Amino acid sequence: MTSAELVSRAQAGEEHAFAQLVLSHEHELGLFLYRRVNDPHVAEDLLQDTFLAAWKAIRKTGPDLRVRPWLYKIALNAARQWERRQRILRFVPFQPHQTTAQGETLPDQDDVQRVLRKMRREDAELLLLKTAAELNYSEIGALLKIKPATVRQRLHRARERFRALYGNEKETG
Amino acid sequence: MNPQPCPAADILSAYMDGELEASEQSIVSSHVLGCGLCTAELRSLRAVDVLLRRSPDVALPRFDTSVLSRRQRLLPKPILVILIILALAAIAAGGTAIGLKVADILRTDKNVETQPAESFPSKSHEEMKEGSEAQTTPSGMEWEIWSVPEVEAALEAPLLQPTYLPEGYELVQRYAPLQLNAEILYLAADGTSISVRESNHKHGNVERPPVPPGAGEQVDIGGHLGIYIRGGWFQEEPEGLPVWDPDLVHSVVFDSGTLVVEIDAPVSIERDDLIAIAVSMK
Repeated sequence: MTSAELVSRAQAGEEHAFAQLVLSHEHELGLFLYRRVNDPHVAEDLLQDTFLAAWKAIRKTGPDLRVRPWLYKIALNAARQWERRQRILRFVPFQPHQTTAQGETLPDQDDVQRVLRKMRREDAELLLLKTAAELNYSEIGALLKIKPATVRQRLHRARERFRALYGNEKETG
Repeated sequence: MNPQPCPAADILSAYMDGELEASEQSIVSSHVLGCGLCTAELRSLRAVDVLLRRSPDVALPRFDTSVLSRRQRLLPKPILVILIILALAAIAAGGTAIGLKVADILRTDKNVETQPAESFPSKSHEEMKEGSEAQTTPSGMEWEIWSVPEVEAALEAPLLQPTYLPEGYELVQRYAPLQLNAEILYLAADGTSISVRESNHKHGNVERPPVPPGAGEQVDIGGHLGIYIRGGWFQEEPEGLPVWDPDLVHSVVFDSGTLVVEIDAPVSIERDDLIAIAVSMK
């Protein structure tokens, strides 16, 4: 079954078809969310929220739905909403995270994660949308509400920044 | 010798992404074939992408498709809010059995450490505020303002909005990103914000940890039962136990009958002013 057929069946409420779409996209969305929020437990929650929201909303979408950018839009909004809550309430957890409350620590971050955390949040986001998500400039532009030409400039700067920071990380690490 | 000058760095990047016009793509391609510098640069840029596409050592999340068949993934969370309100009402009425039972919710979770924020040695409240304000308004931050009908369609209920706000606060955000609850944000020039979250009972998306004894107070919000909470949990990133700080934030939670509404505001706004915002929700 083609992706378009799966989307069409999921739009008609076929759970099995939607589950196939989940299988096709959960790894990449999981990677994107993990890289974006830097916490595998939070990423897991956000992945659940993303797919549940998508399942709820897909029936309202039209025949021209481009499912990958759409899923990333939902995932990005979920990540931003989570992050915004952290910021707005000034690090007040709505639900104190179990791992933190129980005194456990997060897994060791890899070099990529450390570098991403040192970058401006919007640059890291842009970079992930191009690399992990493999969206094109116009899809990224639509998602971030910026022009494709701006995507091009900012993306290149973000790549250069990542490269420089990664080089430093390797030197010092 | 390569007749063409080396393309600008962002063009090379766009070339790698296949984002140039066909004619431009062809010109850059011919150049790169004969240019060691550009070939090396391309290789280096590709390495960046390879690193970012590679899976980390941690187990990546999976989605449990069995939840699709269930109506809701979790128990409706407004229950907690409503229980807190009931507890306060019962306690105010003289401590009935239900009041005593539910009063446990108001006690601090055993896994959570409470202490006055001022005894927290690592960072002062003021320092923390400065740090978070810088994050609240990063340059280039994209805010989304959905139309009221759009939000209401997602919320499946009429949206309530404040008709009164303290001076200087402007709408910057109004949306329902997960189609589960609505979020409205008002920002002032000093970076402080008032946040309104609304959740339809039938979706259930209100999450609130227990509050310590004495931090909650029953209030009347235009005839609806509400709770005023002075303080909030504070947690150092990325590890460490949360502590309750009575001067961090204050909030009002009330049940409109259809929606559970929660309004958070900085403590620079007076308690009565915050309650006035809640009362003005129409």
